[in-house]
Amino acid sequence: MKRVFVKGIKGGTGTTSVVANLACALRKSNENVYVIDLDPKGDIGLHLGLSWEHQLGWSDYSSFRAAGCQFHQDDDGIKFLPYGSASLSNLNFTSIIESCEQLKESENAWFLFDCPAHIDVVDYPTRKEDIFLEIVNCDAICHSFIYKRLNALKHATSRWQHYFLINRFNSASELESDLLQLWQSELPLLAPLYINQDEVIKEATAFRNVAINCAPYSVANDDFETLAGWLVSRASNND
Amino acid sequence: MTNKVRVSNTERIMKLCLGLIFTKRIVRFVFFKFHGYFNQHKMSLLGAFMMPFIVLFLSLFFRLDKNRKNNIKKTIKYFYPHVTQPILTPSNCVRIVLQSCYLVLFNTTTTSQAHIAQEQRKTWRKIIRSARIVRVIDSKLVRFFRRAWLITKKQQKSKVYQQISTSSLWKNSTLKVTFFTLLIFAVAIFVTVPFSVEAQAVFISLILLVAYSLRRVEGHMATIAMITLSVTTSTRYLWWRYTETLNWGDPLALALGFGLLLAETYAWLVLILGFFQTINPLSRKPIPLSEDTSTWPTVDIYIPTYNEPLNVVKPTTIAAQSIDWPADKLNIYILDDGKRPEFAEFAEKIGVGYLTRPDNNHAKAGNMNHAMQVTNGQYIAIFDCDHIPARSFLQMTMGQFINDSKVCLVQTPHHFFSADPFERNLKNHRKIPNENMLFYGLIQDGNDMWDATFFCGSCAVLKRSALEEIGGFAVETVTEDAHTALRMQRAGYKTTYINIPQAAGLATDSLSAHVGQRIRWARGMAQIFRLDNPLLGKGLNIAQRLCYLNAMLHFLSGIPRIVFLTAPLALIYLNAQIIYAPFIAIFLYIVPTLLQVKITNSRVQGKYRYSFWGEVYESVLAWYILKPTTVALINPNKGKFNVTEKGGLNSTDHYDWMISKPYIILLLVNVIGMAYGIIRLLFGDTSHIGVLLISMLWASYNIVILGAAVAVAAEAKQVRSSHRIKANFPAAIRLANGRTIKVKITDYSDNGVGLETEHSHLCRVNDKVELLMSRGFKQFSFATYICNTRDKQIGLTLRDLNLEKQKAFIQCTFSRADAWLDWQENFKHDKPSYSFSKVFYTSLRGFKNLIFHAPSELRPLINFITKVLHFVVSLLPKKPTKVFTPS
Repeated sequence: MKRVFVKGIKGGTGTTSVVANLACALRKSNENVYVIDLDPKGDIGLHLGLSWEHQLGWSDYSSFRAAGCQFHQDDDGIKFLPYGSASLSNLNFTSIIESCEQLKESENAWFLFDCPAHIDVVDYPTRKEDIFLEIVNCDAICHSFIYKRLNALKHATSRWQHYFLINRFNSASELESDLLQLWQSELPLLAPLYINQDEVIKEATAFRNVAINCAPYSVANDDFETLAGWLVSRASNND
Repeated sequence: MTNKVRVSNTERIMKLCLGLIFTKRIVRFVFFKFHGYFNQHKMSLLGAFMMPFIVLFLSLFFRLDKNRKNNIKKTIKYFYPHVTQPILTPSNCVRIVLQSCYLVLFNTTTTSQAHIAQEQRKTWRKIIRSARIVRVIDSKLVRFFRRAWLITKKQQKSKVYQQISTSSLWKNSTLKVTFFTLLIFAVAIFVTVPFSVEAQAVFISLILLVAYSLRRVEGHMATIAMITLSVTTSTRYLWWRYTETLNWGDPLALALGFGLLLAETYAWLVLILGFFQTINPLSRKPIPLSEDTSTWPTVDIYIPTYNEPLNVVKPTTIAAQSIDWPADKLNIYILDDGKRPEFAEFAEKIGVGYLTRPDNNHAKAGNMNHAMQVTNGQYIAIFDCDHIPARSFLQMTMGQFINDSKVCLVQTPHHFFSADPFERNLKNHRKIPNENMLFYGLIQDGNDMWDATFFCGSCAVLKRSALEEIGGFAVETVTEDAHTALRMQRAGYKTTYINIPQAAGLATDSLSAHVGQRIRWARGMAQIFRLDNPLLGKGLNIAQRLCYLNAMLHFLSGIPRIVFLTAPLALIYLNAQIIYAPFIAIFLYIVPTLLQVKITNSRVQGKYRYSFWGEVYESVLAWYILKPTTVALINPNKGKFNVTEKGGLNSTDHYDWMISKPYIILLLVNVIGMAYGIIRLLFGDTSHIGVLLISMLWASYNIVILGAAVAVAAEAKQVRSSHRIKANFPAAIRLANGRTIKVKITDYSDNGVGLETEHSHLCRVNDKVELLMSRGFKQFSFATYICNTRDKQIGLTLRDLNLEKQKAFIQCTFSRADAWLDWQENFKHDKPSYSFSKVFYTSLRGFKNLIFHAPSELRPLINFITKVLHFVVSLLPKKPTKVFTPS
C-alpha cells in the first residue's frame, strides 16, 4: 500500500482540492485509490460528488469495521471515507490510519489522507516509505512556516519522505515568482513541480466535481497529472 | 431625303433590269433576300446581291425547305466552327481555305477517332509496361548491388580478411608508392585510350549502369564508388574534348570552342575539388564541459554594429545575456561604429558593455581589433547584430577548445529565420534548400575533415591568444573573416565546425542587397588570393590549399556560367562547330557524362542542394560577380567594405529591372536563337540537323534556367517588420476570468505569438490574456491581447513590455536551445526529376512575371503581339468537336 499524507502548512492552502484532483488523476491511470478525510473542516465529499446534506462519517462510528459502511464511491471509482459530524469520539485518526490495512485489495492501493493543518506532522503514525506532502502557497507566511518546519524535521525521530508542494502559483505576481526562484535554488525538500493558480479548480467544486473532469484542457489538469506521475515514480523508488 | 430617293432609284433600275429576265416573283424574292442578307447578316453589298442567285441556282438541284436549310447550317457550323459572323472577310477566307484543306487531308470522322483512341490507349499501355519493366530491372539491379555490398562487408568481419587488412604489409612505403603509381597509370590509361564510337557506347553504358544502380545503395562506400566513376568519366570526357574536338580548320570555331573548353575545364576542376572537399564530411559532435564551472574560461561576446536599428540589436544582446555560462565569466559588448547615444543608453540599462572608437578604420575587423585592446576574455564569441544566439551556444562549442589546445575557432552555421530574396521571390521558403544550405550543411563539414573550416564572421568563438599571435583580425581584405582563419591556420592552429544551428538571423531583404553581399565575398576571396595566396606560402597542408582553391574558384564562376549560357548560340547563329565531332559522338560523350555527374552530385549533396538549383543561383550571380572578381584579381586594393542592409520592408510587389537586365538580354538572345534555330531546321542545310538539335536542346535548357533567374527579380512585398518564426512547444494562457488553457505555440515574433488550442475556444479579439511560458523550471507570465482568432488558432500581441519582460520573452522563445534545430531536418533527399519540374515551373512564372511587370511603354507592344498571336492561332484549322448526327 502506498500512503500519501496531504496537509496544509497552514489553513486555507487548498489541501482538499489537491487531494481530490490527485485522487482523480491517479484513478484515471487505473490505480486503486482510497481517500480518507481526517479533517473535520475538510469536506472532501463535496469535491467527489457527495451531497452537503450527508452528515455521517467515520467519526460517527465506534469502530473502523462499523465505519466501513460509510465508504462511498464516486463516478470515477474513487473510494472515499468522509469525516462526519464527530457525534461519537471514541475513534481517533491514528487508529483509522492504521486500520486501513485491513481493507481488501489494500496491497497495491493508494491511500490519500486529507490531513488537518492543526495537527503536527510528527503526530501521524508515519512509516519510512510514506510520502508526506505539505501544501504551501507562495507567500511570506508560508516562507517562514517552511523554515520552521525544516528546523523541526531536523530533530524528528521517525523518518518519512517529506515534500513541500506549491499550490495556486501565479507567475504574474512578482513576489510569487521571486519566492519560487528562491525556494527552487535553496529549499532541499521542494517538489520539482507546482500547481498553477486556476479558476477551474474553484469552479469544479461548484459543480461538485474535480477540475480534471471539468476542464481536461486546462493547465490544472496537466499539473495534477504531472503530480500523480511524480508520486508514482517516488513510490516505486521505495519498492 | 435625296439619299433615300437615290437608293430607291437604283433599286428601281435594278428591279427593272431583273424584270427583263426573271418573273416578278423571283425579283421580289431576290430583293427580299438581299435586304435580309444586307441588313441582318451584315453581308457586303455584292455578297448580299449574289447570295439569292446562288440559293436559286442550288434550289434547282436540292430541295431547300426549312429543315434542310437548318441541317446544312448545322453541318457548316460543325465543320467550320471558328468562322466568325460576317462571313466574307479576308481572315475568314483564310480560315475556310485552311480548314477545307485540313478536312480534306486529315481524317476527322468520329469512327476513326475511336480507332485512334484505341491505338493511343494501346501505346500508353506499352509505355507504362516498359516503364514498369525498367523499374523492375532497376530495383533488381539495386538489390543486386546492395547484396554484393553486403558480401564485401561480411568479408570485412571474417578472420582472414582482418588478418590481411591489419598486416604491416600495408604500411610499407615502397608498396604504397607502387600501388599509387599503378593506380595513376590505370587511371591514365582509362582516361586517354581513344575509343571508337561503338566502344565508347559500351563503355559509357556500363559505367552508367553501375552508377545508376549504386545511387540507392546506402553507405558511404557506395558514394565513394560513384564519385570515382564520375571522376573517371568526366576526366575521360575532358581528354576527348582536348584531343579530338577542336576545329583547327576554322579560326572562329576554334576560338569559340576553346573558350567553351576552358569553361568546361573550370567546371571539371570545381567538380573534382568539390568531390574532394566533401568526400567524407566530418560531423563533429559537441564535447561536454567539466562539471566544475570554476574551470570554465572567460568569454567576451562582441556584437559589432554600424547602422542597424536598435530593434535589430536588442534581441541579440538580450539573448547573448541569456547564454548559459557563469555570469562572472561572460561579458557582452556592443561595438557601435555608428556611435549612437540610444545604443549607449540601452547598453547601460541592460547592463552590457558599450564600446566605440575614435575612427572607423577597417570597418568590422578594425572595430573588433579595437575591442580586443580594451577587453580581456580568454575567448571571443562574435555575433552579427542580427544573429540571435540560443542559450546553449557556448555549451555546444566551448568543449572543442578544452579538448584540444590547438583549436582556435569553432564555427556554427548561419541560419536565417526570414526568407532570403530567392526564397521569398520564388515562394519556396522551407521547401527548397537555400543557397546557404550547401555551404553550412555539407561543405563546412567537409572542410572540417581537412582542417580547413572557414571563419564566417559570425556565430563563432575564437581563441584570443591565437588572434593575438596573428595580430588580430585581418584588415587587408573586405572579407576579414576568411582571411583571419587562413592566417590562424598558417600559424598552426586548427579550425573546427559544428553543424548545429545555435543562432539565427535575418536574411538579406532584397535581391540587390543579396547580390551586393555576394559581390563583397567574391571580391574578398579574390583579394585574399592576390595578397595572401593560400596555394603559396607556408603553414598549410595540401588539402587545406585545395579547399581554399575550391572556395576561390566558386566565386570565379561568373565567366564560365555566361559561357555555358551562350555556347549553344555559337552554332545556331554563326554555324561555328565549337564541338567539332560527329553528332553521334557528341551524344555519346556529353549526355551520359552529364547524367552521371548529375546523379553523383544529387547523391553527394542530397538534402542540402537540389539538382539544377545550383545553376539558377549561379546564373543570377554570374554577371555581377564577374567584374568585381576580375578587378580584385588585377588590383586587390580597390573596393571598400559595404554593409549588408537588413530588416527593411517592401511595401509593394515590384520588379527589379535594373538587376535582371543582364538575364533579360541573355534570355532574349537565347529565345531569338531558338526561333532562328527552328527556321534553320526547316529551311537550312540538312547535314547540320543533328548538332543543331543538340544545340537547341541545350539552348532551351538555358532558357529554363534563365527564366528561373528572371523570376527571382520580381520582388515580392514584405510587409511584416518582424518575422514570424515557426515553432512547436507547449505553453498556457490564462483568460481574464482566471481559467487556464493549455496551448501549443505555433509561431512567434518579437512582438507576437501564434497559438493553437486543443479544442475550439471562446476567445474574442481584444480580450486581455495572460501568456504563461516556461524556461527550465521557471515560468513567466506576459500580459497580451488577442489580435485575431480562427477556429483553434489564436494570435496574441505583446504590448508595452518592460525590459525585464522583453528579456524573459526572448529567453522563452528565440534563445531556446532547440529553437533552430529542425532547420536541416525539414528537407528530404534530392530527386532530380522533381527538382527539375520545380525549376521549370519557376521558370514559367519568371516569364509570366516579365509580362506582368512590363513597363508601361512596352504595354502596347505586348498587347499587339498578344493580339497578333491570338489572331494567327484563330486562323489555324480546328478539329470538329461536337458529335454530328445528320437527321
